[in-house]
Order: sequence, then C-alpha cells, then structure tokens
Amino acid sequence: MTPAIAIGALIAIATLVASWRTWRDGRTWRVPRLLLQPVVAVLLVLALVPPYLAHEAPPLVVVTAAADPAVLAALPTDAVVAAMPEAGGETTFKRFPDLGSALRAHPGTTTLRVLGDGLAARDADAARGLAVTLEPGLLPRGLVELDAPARVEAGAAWRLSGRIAGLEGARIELRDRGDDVVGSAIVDAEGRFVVRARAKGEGRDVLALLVKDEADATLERVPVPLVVGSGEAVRVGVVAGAPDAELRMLARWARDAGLAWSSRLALSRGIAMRDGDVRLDAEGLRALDLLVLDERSWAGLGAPAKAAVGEAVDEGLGLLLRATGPLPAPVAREWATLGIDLEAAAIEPAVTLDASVGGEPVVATRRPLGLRGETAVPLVLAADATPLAAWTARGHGRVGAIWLLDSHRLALRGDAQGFGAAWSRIVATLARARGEASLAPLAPARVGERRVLCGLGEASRVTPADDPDTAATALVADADAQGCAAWWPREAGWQFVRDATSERFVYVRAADEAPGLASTEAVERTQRLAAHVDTASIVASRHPAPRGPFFLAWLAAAALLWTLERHARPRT
Amino acid sequence: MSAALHGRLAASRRRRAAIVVALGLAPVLAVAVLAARLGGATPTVVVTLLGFVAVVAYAIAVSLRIGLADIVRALDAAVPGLEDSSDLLLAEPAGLTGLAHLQRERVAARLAAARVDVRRPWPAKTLAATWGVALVAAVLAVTWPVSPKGAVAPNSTPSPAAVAETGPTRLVANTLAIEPPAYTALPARSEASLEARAPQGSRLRWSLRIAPMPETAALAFHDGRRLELARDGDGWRGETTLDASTLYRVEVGGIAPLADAALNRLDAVPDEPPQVRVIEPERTLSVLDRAQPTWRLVFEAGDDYGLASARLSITLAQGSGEQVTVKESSVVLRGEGDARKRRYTHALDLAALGFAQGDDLIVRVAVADNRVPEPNVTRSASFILRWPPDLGAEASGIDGIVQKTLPAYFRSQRQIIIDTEALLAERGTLDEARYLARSDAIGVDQKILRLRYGQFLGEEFESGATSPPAAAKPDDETSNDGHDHDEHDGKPHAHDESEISAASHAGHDHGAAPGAEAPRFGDAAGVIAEYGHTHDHAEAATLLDPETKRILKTALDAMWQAELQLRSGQPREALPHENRALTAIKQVQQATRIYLARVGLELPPVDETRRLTGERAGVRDRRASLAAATPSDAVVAEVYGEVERGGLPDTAALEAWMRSHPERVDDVLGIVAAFDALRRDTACVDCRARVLDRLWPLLRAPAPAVRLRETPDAAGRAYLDALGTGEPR
Repeated sequence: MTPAIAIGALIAIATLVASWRTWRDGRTWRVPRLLLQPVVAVLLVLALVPPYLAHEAPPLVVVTAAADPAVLAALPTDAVVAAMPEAGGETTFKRFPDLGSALRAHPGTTTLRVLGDGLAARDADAARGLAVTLEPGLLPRGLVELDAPARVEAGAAWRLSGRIAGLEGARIELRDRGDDVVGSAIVDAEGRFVVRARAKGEGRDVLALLVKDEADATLERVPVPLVVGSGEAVRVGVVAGAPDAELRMLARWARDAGLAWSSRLALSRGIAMRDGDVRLDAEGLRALDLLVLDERSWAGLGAPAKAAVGEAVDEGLGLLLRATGPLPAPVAREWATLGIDLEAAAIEPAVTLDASVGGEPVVATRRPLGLRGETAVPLVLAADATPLAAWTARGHGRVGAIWLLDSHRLALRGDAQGFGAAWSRIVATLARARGEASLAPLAPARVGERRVLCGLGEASRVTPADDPDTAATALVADADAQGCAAWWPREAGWQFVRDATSERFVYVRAADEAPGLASTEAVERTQRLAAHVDTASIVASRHPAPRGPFFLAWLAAAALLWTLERHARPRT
Repeated sequence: MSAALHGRLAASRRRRAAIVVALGLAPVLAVAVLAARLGGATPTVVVTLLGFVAVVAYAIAVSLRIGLADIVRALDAAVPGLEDSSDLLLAEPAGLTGLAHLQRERVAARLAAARVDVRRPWPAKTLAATWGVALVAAVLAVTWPVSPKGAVAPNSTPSPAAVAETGPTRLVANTLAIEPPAYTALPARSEASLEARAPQGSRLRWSLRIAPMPETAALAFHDGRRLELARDGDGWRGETTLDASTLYRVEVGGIAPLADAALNRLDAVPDEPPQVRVIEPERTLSVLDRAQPTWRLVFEAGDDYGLASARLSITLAQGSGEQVTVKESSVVLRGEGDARKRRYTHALDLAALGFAQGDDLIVRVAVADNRVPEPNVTRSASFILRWPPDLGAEASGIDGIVQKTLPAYFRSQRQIIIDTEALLAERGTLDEARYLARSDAIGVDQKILRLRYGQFLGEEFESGATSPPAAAKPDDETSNDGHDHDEHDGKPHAHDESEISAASHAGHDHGAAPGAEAPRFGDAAGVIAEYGHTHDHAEAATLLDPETKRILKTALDAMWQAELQLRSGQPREALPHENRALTAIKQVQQATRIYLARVGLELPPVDETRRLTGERAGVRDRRASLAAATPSDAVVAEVYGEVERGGLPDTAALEAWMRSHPERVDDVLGIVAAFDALRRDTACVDCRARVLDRLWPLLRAPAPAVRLRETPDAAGRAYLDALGTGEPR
C-alpha cells in the first residue's frame, strides 16, 4: 500500500464522515457545504500527492574542454546550456560541477549535445541511457596518439608510434632517464611518427618523449612508462653438419642472454664438437624449446630421428632449418613435408640487410632460394623486402627456415645488439610456447580519473612504487566481477598493485600531463557513448506537478467552506 | 541577650567570609597555575598574592554587610516560636512596656532554648562546581603541549650546550675568495656561495661565520681530507689550493651539526694546451721540381690564458740510399698578435740550410703556453719539403727492379744516339784508329744495353763489359756469321735466342771457348749441349704481355743492328737503327703495367664421399662450451638494482670502479654528491630518483633476451589441433 493510497483512503473516509454529518446537521447552506467537501478533499489529496506529468525537455548542450568559440557564440539564446568544470574560463554559461548535477537541474533531458573534447570519465556513467551527439571543438596541439609497449625484454628492440596534430615539421626525440637520446624520428605529413629504440637493463623506466619544433625548442614533454623485464631461459639445441662462424656468434649471444644452449657440431664421421648434449629422441626433444638443424645434419639423420622430430614439432617444439649449402633434392622434399617448401631461385647471393651500422648498410650473403607457395610467414626481410627466413605452423609447434648465411656480419660490423635482437625475435617466434600467462600490461591511468583494475584477489593494495613506506590504498575487489576493483589514483608515477598472489606496476599520469592524449581519450569515450546509445531504452522522464497551485486552491476552497460553516445557521 | 545576637552575628559574618574565600580561592589558584605556566616564578607569586588579597578583602566587605537586622530576620524565619518578635531583643529592656517586655522575655527564653543556626550554609554545589572548573583549568594549563617556538615547556629536553639561545646551527655569513694563478691574468674574485668554478691551481680562502659559535670547524672533503679552519674573531678562516674538482662540506665540533649539510662542489678548470693550426704549407708533403729560394711557413696558435714561446725544429736529410745524413736545428719564432692568439710567419732560407736536389726538409713547430709549474706544449704535425733526386743519375743495378729502370734505359739509348751523333760530328777531326775505338766503345755500350733489355725476354745478363772485339774474334765472326740477317729482316725470331745466348756466352768464363768446334748455325740444342748448361728459359719470361714482348724484341733487333754497325766502325749506318730502338723502347715504356698471370680460383665441388675421412684413430669428441662473459661493470648493475629496490648499498666498490674506468664516467663528483644526499635522507624519493638517473648512463645494455610465448589455453589448443588435422603428413 503506497502512501498515496493510504492518504487518499484516509481523506476519503474523513470526507464521507464529514459529508454525512453535514447532511444530517440541519443547518442552512447544506448543499453548497456538501458540494465543497469532496472538492476540498480532492484538492488536499492532490496537494499532498501531486500527479506526475510527462514532459519533453529540450536537448541539453554540454560545454566541455576546448569547445569551439564560434559554435558557442552561435548557440540560440533559449538553448539550455551546462558548462562543465573543464570548459574554458571565458564561458558565460552556468557551470555545474559534473554532468549528474546538470541533469538533475534539467530533469527530463533525453538528448545531450556535447561540444568540445567530450565527457570526462566521471560523466560517462551519468550519460548512459541518453542520446549523445558529439561536436569536437578545437583540435589539440601536440601529441594526440601514443602507442608504446608496456613491457619489453632487456636489450630488445622496440618501437613506439604515435601522431602529432597541429604542428608542422616537428621532430620527436626519445630520451631515457639519463637524458641521453635513445631514438628520434621525423614526423611525416600526416603527423605520424615511429621511433625505434633499444631497451637497457631490467627495471622500470620512464622515458621522456620530447616534441620539438623546427627551431629545436621543446614544445611538449610526455613521459612514456616502460617496464623492462628479464628474458627466460629458452632451451635451444643445435645439430649442425659443420662448425660455422654464424653458430659461434649465436652461441655467444645465447650465453650472454641467458639461454640454455646445447649443440653438437659434426667434425667428422662420428666425431663432433659438443656443448651439452642434444638427443634426437622423444625424451630429448621434449626437453628442448627450439631445435636448429641444417641440411647436412638433416641428411645425416636416420628415419627414426626424423620421425621423432616431426612428432615433437606436432607436440609443440620449434624447429629452425638452416640452409647453409646447396639443398639436395631429397632434403628439400622432406622439408616440404614439414611445411617449408624451398625452391632454387635465380637471385644474387649478396643481399643488403635491413640494418645499417654507422650509416652504411650491411651486406650479407644468402643461398639462392625462394619460397614456393603462400603459406609461410616471412620472418626476416632484406632491405628490398625479399624474405630471408620464413616460418609456418605445424601442429602445436612451428617450423622455420633461414637461408641467410652470415647474419653475424652485423655483429662484426659492431652492432652486436642488433644481431642479438634479430635472433631473439626469431627464437621467440619459433620456440615452444610454454610461458606463463601474464597479466595483460595496463595502460597508464590518470590522477583523479576512475580506473578499473581486474584480476585482483583478496587483500589487494596499491602503494607508490618509489616510496613503499607510504600508507597503502586498499582496493575492494569484486569477486563476482572477475576480481575487478575501482581505483582513483591520487599520486602520479609508478604505483605498485599487489595482492596475495600477483604484483603489477601501473603508471599514473599527472592531471596536466599530455593534454593531447587526454583530449583524444575523452573524444573516443564520448564517441563510444554516442555509438552505443539505444533509442528504445530512453525513457521519457516524468516529474511530479508542482504542489503550490493545488495547495492554494485547497486553501481557498477550505476557507470558503469554513466561511460557509461559520455562517450556517440552524434551520428553523 | 544582645550578646547572643552579637555572637550569632559574628558567627554569621565569619561563615559568610569563609564562603567567599573558599569560592574565590579556586579561580585564584587556576590563574596562578596559568601564570606559572606562561610566565615565570615572579608573575606567579605576584598573581597569587594579589588574588589572595583581593579575595580576602572582598570577603571581609561582604561579611560586614550582614547586620543585626539580618540576624533577627533570619531568626524569625527560622524559629516559629519566636513569633516574629526577635527584633524586640534589639530594643532596650527598659524602654519596653508591659506586653512587649513580656514578649521580650518570652522570646529571649525561647531563643536561648532554641538550637538554631542562622549562618548561611556552605553552598556545596557551587563550591564543587567552582573547584572542579578551577582544577580542570589548572590541569589543562599544566599539560597543554608546548608550542615549538622555543617556549620553555616542562617536558622538553634541554640542548647539550644549555645556552640561553638554541636555534639550529647555520652559516650566518660566508665568503669564498678565489685567487687564480698569476699567469692566467684573471682577476681575484670573491663569491658569496660555497660552490665555485675556478682555474686549476687557484688559491681559495674561506671566511665563515657560524651561529652559534662552535668549538672547532673544519672542511671535510669527499675523499677524506680535512682542512681545519682557524678561528679569527667571531669568524673562521681557511685556505687551500684547488688542484682537482672536489666536494666538501663544513663540519663543526662541539655543537649540533649544520642544518644544511649538503655537499658543495668546487670545479677545477684545467688549463688547456694551446691549439696550433698550420696555414702554410697546406699539404703535409710538398714536392719541388726546381730550386726555390725560400719556403714560407705560416702558423696560427691560440691558448686560453696565454702563449709563451714557439719553437720551429728543422731537420734536413741529405743523401739517399744508405748514406743519409741528418742535420737538426731549431729556430725560435716570433709572432704577431696578443697573448691569446698569435700568428707566426717564417721564411726558411733554403740555400742557407744547404738544401739541394734529393734532400728532404722536415719542419715541426712546438708551441708552449705560459702555465707556471710546467707549460703545456703542443706540437704540430711534421711538414716535409722534398726535392726529388734526378733519377737519371742512378746507375744502380736492375736486379729485381722492374719499374724504375726503364726510364734509365730510355736515357741510355738516347745517350748512345747523342754519342754517335757527336762522333759523327767530330769525324773530320779524329784519326781513323781513334774513330774506330770510340765507335767500338759506343757499340759496347749498345751491347750492354741490349743485354739488359734482353733480360726481360728471358735472356741472361752478365755484368761487366765483354772483352774487346779483337780477343773475341772467333766468337765475333761466329756472331757475324750467325747474324747474316743483316740482309734480310723478318727473319724468324726463333734464332734470336740461340744466337744471342751464343753471343752472351762470349764473355762467360766457361773455359771452353778456345778450341771448341764451331757451333752449327741454328742448332739450339747443340749450343746448349756444348756449353753444358742453360741459364734461362724463355717460358719463364711471363712478366710482359705478348704485345710488349714483341715491341721489345723489335727494339732488341734494332739494337743488335746498331751494335753491329758501331762495332764495325759505321756509326752513320748505326744511327737509324738506334733511333728505331729508341722509339720501340719508348713504346715499351708506355706499357707500364706488368701483368702477372692470374689463375682463377675454381675449386672443384666438394665430394661428400671423400670429406671428413682420414686417420681418426685416437680422435675424440671435443668440448666446445663458451665461457660466460664476466661483465666488467657488474658492480654498477648491482648498485643500481639495490638503489631501485629501496636499499642503500655501500659505494666503496662503485667508487673504485669509477676511478679505474674514467672514460665511462662523465661526472664522478655528481654521482658522489647524489649518493651523499641519499645517505643523509634515505626516505627522500627525489634523491633516490636522482641517483638512479646518474647511474643509468653507466649501465651497459644487456644482450637481448628472449621471452617465451604464452602457453595456449584450451581454446587455443583445440584450434591448433583442428588446423593440424587437415594437413597431409
């Protein structure tokens, strides 16, 4: 029983009683008094429980940051406008602290017309269920897009790409924490750039991306967070027909990078140079992540060994076939059944690699081979985009082939890091997939903006990474929602998120850092809201009618009734 | 009766006064405690006394207000039996009439019998409240925390010096007077900060004032040295010479250490050596082809503080081959310009030095600056002036020398032509015998020349002139007979070698010349067999290409003809042959390249069946592990890792490493200062970040590591299995 019905019932009973008494009290003015009773009762009920009215409110114009002043000036004078706190200072419209309060002030709003960058993160929930249209305002100047990996391996080569808007002839510099230039790039006509850099040692690093104009003045400085992790001990086994300078350089790189390297290089029939042991049976192959063979050692394998290798690849082993000399036809056929179909091609042995040392490109040698068919994925490309190595998947494992003979020239010319980076990519692509599923790297958060962290268990806490003695912020993870918790970062910098089982680092940007990125995020967020709106679910709101008029009417009617009652004389 | 009333009055008054005093003492006590807390002893005493006096005076004043009338009224109210007539007791008994007197008697009797107390009762609640409030106020006044402005609080620990003023130790004033070395000619200056940048070797004088005055003061440098400061009035003085960049801080003894204990940095700017630029000559090696009177040298030198002397060292190398004599001398140069930049111009008199053709003159300038303990000297590169010798004067042997001797031959042939023409010109003045002798001598020269050239075609050469034609008559005739191709040219060259070798054996001391049977013409084998050995094989003459060989053979032919004519006293007929030989030799000289036979390296393809076979008894597998590289900068990585994790490592090993690798570290002092700041305040996040920033460039990039792909989950595995089933095995 709602209060309205209860009130109505009470008043109805009282009215009936009063009407009965009026009828039976035998005084003058009976009929008017009788008629006024229900009128007064109804008015009282309406004043206490006013009815709802549905009404259509005009679209609410929401002014956010970087709104176009021309559009603002062109707004009609009767438009309903709400300015958000991040709108520019010179707006004369009514300011609201957030969208929710603006919507409460203008009830019944069903459409929003957002001018400027878009809704901030705190307003995204308030705008749900409304039809949103976005009119982007002034384009931000500076860095607007940034795409960088959150985690790289130590010593690896990585790349960072992004877009600059509103600047002509800008130049990008990436500096590490010691203020050395790690990479630089020129911005192209569209404003896009790609910077290549090499990671140093393990740890958390914050690099600085500087946007410089033509006069070499720094226009913007954006911190780029990067977590450099250590590699893993991949188990590589090499069975080669002869020792090779390439294998020696690979062994050196593998030992420096912490890989578990075992090799058997044949010297003569039955005599080999051994480093560890490589057994080509099921047990031995299960203990390897990558097996490297060349055509000579393949020709020397017996049928059971070849079958064991094929089965191991199906189970997940990675296999790299090196073509170091002329490829005999039976070997080529067997490799084709493994998945790599190589044919002789009339190409020059000298090839320019896609790397240069000291400004000069590095020239290496390759076997005159080419791939037949389209199933293999190129792994290493020359400077003219011809493949020098390729791989294909087979079962759970991968089979790759490389016919570049002396990639170690890169190391001989002085770029041992580049040599290692290229081979680390090859090994990482082909090796057995047995890494742990790591928690996905987290994009940087921003101070004051709500951020959802998922995959947390109990007792999860956030502390600033550089100052572990500060009081930790406890996060409340919702186990029913994949262990997600909401978090409002208060401090900028690296934050350490820890729960009972895992630890992660999240980088938090300061509120005024990288404004271009913030405005791009806001525009994307608002456009996503605008795209997801479901017109059928928009409920036209209703609001109760104002009580004032009803109360005044009741007052007047009750006063009249009272006057009548007072002047009623007994009938004689 | 009035005595009783008076007694009651007095008692009442006393009670009233006591109540007032009791009530008034409470606030007085509270105020006194407050005064004791805020002020000192004196205010407390004063306040207590004043308060007490005030309270007592007020009590007396209040108590005196009570009069007999109040007592009587109180009695009447208290005792009903008095029938409100106690005031009769105040009146004189004689003045009262009968009823009043009776009533008075009765009242007096009742009053005497009544046991009533008209004194004001103790106001317990008020008293309790007042004293409670006063006690609370007093307790609060006692235990209120002391504000840190230096107020004397009962529970603050006094400083060890126990002086009246205890502010933090700080430098009130400091001056650092810098006196650069005299030779730099820089003015002495004084800085108001403790950090400075001064030339190396400057004298630094500190003058500090520290408040409060310590017992001892010293400057502690980062490498452990200490400079004790001497007290001078109310300041401290010290001085030292700046030899290298250091960090230091001021240490005081006897009082608390300085509040600001950061390390201050002194940078020593070393004196750079002078820079020399040679303007003339432009090239390091200048080659003359004719005599030159002087050699002009122009240098420019610059220094940061001042130049001293410039010395030009001159070395003259004369002679060639084994007999080279070297003469050295030096000249002090005077330049024009100021002390910082000078230009030196000097013209070397080559004739005075004795510079002749074939000599080398090497000059080098050494410029010194005016640094005082020992000057910095910069030497420029050496500049050589060479006058190449006349190559025609060389009469060295030709053994093994291929290029150089051709021009000499060229000249010799020309000399022969000149000699022949001279002889022809003198024909009229000479007699027959002399004419013949001279012609023969020229012929011998031509023969020697021919034999020298013939060496290129695989013929033998003997040094030394052959015997005069008279003694070699039979051979001469043999050669004459054998060379009947005077009449016919175009004779095949096949004869050449046998005839020439026969002729060349003319001077050979075989000892078989006389009495030997005349060699048959054209019998090469017979010739070889007769002389017992061969000296050379024509096939070995592979130095020249066939075209050059042909031309050379033409030249040799012409030379042979010329020699023939000359030897037989016909120089006029020899002249055209000589000219022909000259042109041919000139053509040979054009062919400057000597071609060696190049054999292309065409290895046969590897025969797999024969590979890797051989004696393998006792050959075992070899172990081939690479040792792990020990990085030389492991200490830097360790220290970096520990600082990043939040610890504070010991930096002794790091400093030793930095000292032994000065080329890796730019700014050792900066790192030391950053570590010191971190050590003083381990919780400072900024200091830690600065230490990490400074250590970062010292780290070497590690070898690129590999990360494994993630294990596919059930869906991934099912996908890969489904992919695999369609593939043919």
